Amino acid sequence: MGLSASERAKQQEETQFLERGVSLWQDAWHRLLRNRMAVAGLIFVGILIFCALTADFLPPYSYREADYENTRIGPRWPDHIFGTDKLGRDVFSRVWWGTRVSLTVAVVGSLTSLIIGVTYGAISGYLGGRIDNLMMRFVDVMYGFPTLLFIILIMVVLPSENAIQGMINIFIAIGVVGWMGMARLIRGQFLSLREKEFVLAAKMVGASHARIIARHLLPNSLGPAIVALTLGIPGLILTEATLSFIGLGVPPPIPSWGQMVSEGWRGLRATPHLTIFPGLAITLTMLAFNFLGDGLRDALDPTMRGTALVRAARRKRRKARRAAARAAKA
Amino acid sequence: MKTRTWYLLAGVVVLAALLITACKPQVQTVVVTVPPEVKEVQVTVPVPVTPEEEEGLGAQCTYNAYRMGWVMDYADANNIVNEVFHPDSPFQYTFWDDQTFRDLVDQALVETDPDARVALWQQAEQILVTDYAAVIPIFHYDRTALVRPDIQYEFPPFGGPSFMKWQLPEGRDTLRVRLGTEPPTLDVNLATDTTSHMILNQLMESLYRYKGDGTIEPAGAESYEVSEDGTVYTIHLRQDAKWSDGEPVVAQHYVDGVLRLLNPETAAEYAYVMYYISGAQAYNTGETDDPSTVGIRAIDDYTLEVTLDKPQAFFDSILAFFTFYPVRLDVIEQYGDQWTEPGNFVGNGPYVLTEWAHEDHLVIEKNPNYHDADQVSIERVEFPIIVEDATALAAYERGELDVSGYPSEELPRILEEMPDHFVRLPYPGTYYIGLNTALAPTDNLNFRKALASSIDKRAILDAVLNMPWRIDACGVIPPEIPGYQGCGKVGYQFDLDAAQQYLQAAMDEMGIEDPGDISIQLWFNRGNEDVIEAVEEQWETNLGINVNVVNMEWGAYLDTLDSCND
Amino acid sequence: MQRFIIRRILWNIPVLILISMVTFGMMQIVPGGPFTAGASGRPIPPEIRAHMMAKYGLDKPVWQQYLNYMGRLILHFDFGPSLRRPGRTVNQMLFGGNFLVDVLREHLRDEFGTAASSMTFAEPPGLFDSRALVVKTSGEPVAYIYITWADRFEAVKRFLTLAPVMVSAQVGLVSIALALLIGIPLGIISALKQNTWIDYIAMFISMLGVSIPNFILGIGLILIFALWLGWLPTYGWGESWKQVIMPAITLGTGGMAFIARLTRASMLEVIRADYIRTARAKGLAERVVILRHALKNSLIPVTTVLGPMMAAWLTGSFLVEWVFSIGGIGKFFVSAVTDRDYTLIMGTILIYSTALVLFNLAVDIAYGFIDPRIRFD
Repeated sequence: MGLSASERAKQQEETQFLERGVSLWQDAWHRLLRNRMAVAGLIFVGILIFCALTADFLPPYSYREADYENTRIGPRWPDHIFGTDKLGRDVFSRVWWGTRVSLTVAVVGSLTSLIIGVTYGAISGYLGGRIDNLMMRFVDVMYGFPTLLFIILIMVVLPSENAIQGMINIFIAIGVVGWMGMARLIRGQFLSLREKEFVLAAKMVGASHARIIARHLLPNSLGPAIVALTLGIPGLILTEATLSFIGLGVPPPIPSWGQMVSEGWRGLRATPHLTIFPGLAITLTMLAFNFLGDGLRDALDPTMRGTALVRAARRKRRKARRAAARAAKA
Repeated sequence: MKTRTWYLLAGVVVLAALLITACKPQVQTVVVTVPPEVKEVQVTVPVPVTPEEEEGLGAQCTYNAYRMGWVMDYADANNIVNEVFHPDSPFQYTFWDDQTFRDLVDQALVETDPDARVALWQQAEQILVTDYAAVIPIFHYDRTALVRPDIQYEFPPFGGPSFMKWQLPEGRDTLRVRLGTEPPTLDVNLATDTTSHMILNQLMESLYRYKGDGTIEPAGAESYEVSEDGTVYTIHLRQDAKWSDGEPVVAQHYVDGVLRLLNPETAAEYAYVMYYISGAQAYNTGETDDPSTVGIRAIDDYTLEVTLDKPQAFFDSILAFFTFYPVRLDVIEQYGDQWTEPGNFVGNGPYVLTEWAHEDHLVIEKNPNYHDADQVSIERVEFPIIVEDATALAAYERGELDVSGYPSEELPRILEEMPDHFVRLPYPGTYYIGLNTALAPTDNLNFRKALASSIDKRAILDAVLNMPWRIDACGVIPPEIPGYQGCGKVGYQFDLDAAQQYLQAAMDEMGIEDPGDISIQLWFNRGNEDVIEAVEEQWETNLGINVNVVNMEWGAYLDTLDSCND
Repeated sequence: MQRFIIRRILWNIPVLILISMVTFGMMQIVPGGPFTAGASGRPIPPEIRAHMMAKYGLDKPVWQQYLNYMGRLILHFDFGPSLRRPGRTVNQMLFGGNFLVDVLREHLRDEFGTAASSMTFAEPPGLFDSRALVVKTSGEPVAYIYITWADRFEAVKRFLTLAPVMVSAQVGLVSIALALLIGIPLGIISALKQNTWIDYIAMFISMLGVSIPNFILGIGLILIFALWLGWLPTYGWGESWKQVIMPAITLGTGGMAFIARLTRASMLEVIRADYIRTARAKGLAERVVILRHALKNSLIPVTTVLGPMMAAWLTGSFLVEWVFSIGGIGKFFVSAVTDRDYTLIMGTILIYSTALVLFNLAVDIAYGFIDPRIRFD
């Protein structure tokens, strides 16, 4: 059986692994690359980032260029391949531009919750005891609010003088409701890790609190956090869509997928292209992030660490033995 | 045990913090509730504000333009030119003022000759819209609905339809009308919205009633006379009118209705509509607590007398208004808050309320005690509550509804597939953009004129809203109201050259070279994205200025505008 | 165990009080009040607004308003009057009012005919009263009506079927059942067939479920099943079983997908655990291994998310109730805030957080049954 290029690459990795140690992240990266769905997701996210970066100059039209002669026309080759909306704006360009908004809302929103959540969870989990108990009770209180209601209240309280501020408000709102889960997760990790031998050893040799947290606890609990983050991003994109449905989304004329869908869905029969294309963008993005998140989880799972490589190495040795036996027979 | 102490401490801290933050706005309320005699002083003496508040207010009130709309209550220009746009009106936020306008309004209010009156309103409108350009009207409202073609319908321009005048096709006796929301209340004095009035219009009868052509016809009354000086109205009631429980309707019931509306304890929103009656305002604002000072009384069981402060030529329109519904105080007393529930509700209209499953549906049935019961052809009307337009349209197309709304996005398809179901009705009112005349750059008259001349209203109606039948507005008085002037006679039409000239003049006055240096803020409330996005786009494209749109949710929007105008 | 439960319940009391305080404070900060705009949408003139504020006691200091509110709530279980629906109380809007009164009224109507409409009860009958005094509106006593067990059952039955909270709970329950019944098997199958096309298809379907916004799914179902195929009614709840299908699918799909993914992940982890290997090594049938040993343990994460999920779903979904015109309490979560109906906001928040607290407690107790190794302390 001939070896394909990818299998040869795999073999190389395996030898590498057997010959010298591979770091946790490198190992995870290799395992991620072997997951076909995750790679597809990764590529799609790459395309999204590309779209977001080039939204200002690559799309055929500006996201706000109105054309009152051609409103609500269906997809038409070659000038409006996704059709136009109520102001005659090109839907293709708006979906392209919307990548920037939706991606930013999702990424910044989840980063906000990551930062708040990790800080809060780290303090709570590291200190433990009564303070931990008190801090977790506060998380309980925050959990007690219905998310949607809380976001509405925040959005209503915050002023939005211009579009940028409106978007920042959404980040804040989403971040403020999203951090509790992250805080719980990190706290759990810290609680279990701080009793581990390597942390105790670091304490014994007199490492400072900051060093213990930064060098030992944080890196080891970041894996699950990243997975939770990737899996949380699709939820944020949907939250943004739901906010737009209630009328609390990104302020116009800036397009976001959620806003486009919630403006178009009532006309699903008269002008389906206004719903289908941004809707498709949402669905594909969510699929991509989900596959990527699942892949990351498998790759970062400590119980899986090295298994693929070890198994492959074993298989290789077996094959080598068999080949040797065949050779001996011959 | 110790942990619990911690909780207690934390609780107290949070409570204290909350109280401190929450009590802050309370300070303002204290200022408002000073005794009346000090009030005037309070207005002239600037209220000391903390630096923080000042900053907040300054940052808040930065609108140059705001979106608003007004739907007429009755067929007189007073309802919009004076009640909405008078410099003292609480309904406008433009900071505009003009002595000639004030004088014209005062003259118009006492003028009894209809033609002279209309001319005065038109002059006042010219000052507001043309000379000051304080308001940019965009379009006049209308009302559209889907009604099955085999039903005979009638929608008057004011108030809701009277289903007693509708006819169903042979073999059917139940009409199914979609409601877009649960009626907030069926209390005749507290209801103010169209949904509640759609129902109340069937359950109750005022003195007069609007016909499909906008004129009034007698309902609970037979006729009325006006005194020589135009201030005393004597209304003769019909003697065969009965309540749904069989009691006769007498003049005192109408008096009770108006007094209950004006009673401060009722806290009725529309009490101000009756301020034209002498003594009404004093009673409603608590200056006197004696209801007998209000100029309404029952001379005998079937004669009602209403005294006004000064003659009001349009007062006959108010006779058909829902503020003249009679009430049964004994019923209200018997059931308390629950008197609007089916079984408790006693009305004098053609229908009685038989079912009200809250948030789900209402049912009304023919009232056998109604004086014109023979004329009522539809036996029963069902009102399912369907919030979402798209769902309502689907239900209508399935045949589950006879009258329904639709999502505007589906309009092209509706016009193509079922044009005979589509009904367009008059709904006098104006959708407009107000300009802040106190804040640069909209304090410049030429700049305001430039803004007014650079909006292509027809494009907004034809292309963006997809409602080519709607009338673009240049003045504030709607076409159905006497005094309508139309584009070309009042206000500004879309004219790019004129806009450029106005803009150039404005820039010369302001000392600005490049229109790109001008930035304005356009505020609107959510749900108006279609129109406002187009206006913003046109201002930016046609004038080359920067427009920042700020959108807020309705409650916050009104509150911020209000707080800027205190 | 009992001590644990009692302690957990006690812990939750300060949490709930804090939530009520924060909500109450936050409502005051939000710009715009219940009487900024009337039901017609017009601004209310200041002098008239002042009457309205006075009528509902909103002119008092905030702390006093809060204490009054909590006092009424704790002593009488009274959520106060709705500020934007004159004549309606929040209790009626959430719990549908006193159903026993309706039942007894029907008896009166049978007994006295039309005269019954002018009769009322001296005081509202409670579920455990033995009789209620019937009086004329003038206050003159007419009769005692004795409350039978049948009446009580009827009242409870009506509460369970008609009360807005219960309508929301019904929608939520059906959706959760759907999510669990499809989600868990889907997760197990795709874990057992990991990285095969079955796994990929199952996961693809479940991800598709998460990624379609609810409102699009809802209107899509209406178009297909109500309008084009004509099989199902467009809107409503509680009149026929056909009305259940579309809301349940709309609400349940997202959760189903989530549960499927969760089950798959934890199943994958569990089947690699030592005790499963041992069980296999003992020669137990694969079916027994999976169903008896692996499944139970892989359900722990599912149970964990079930707590908040049930709290959120049983208290009503805004989108589903909106699209299908269901008279539950989910709509209030949004409309109360946009209307600034303060008492209704408090009511919905308290219902939701109480539900959350209770379901989390239930989940903690359920752990004990699923995995005896989890100790309560």
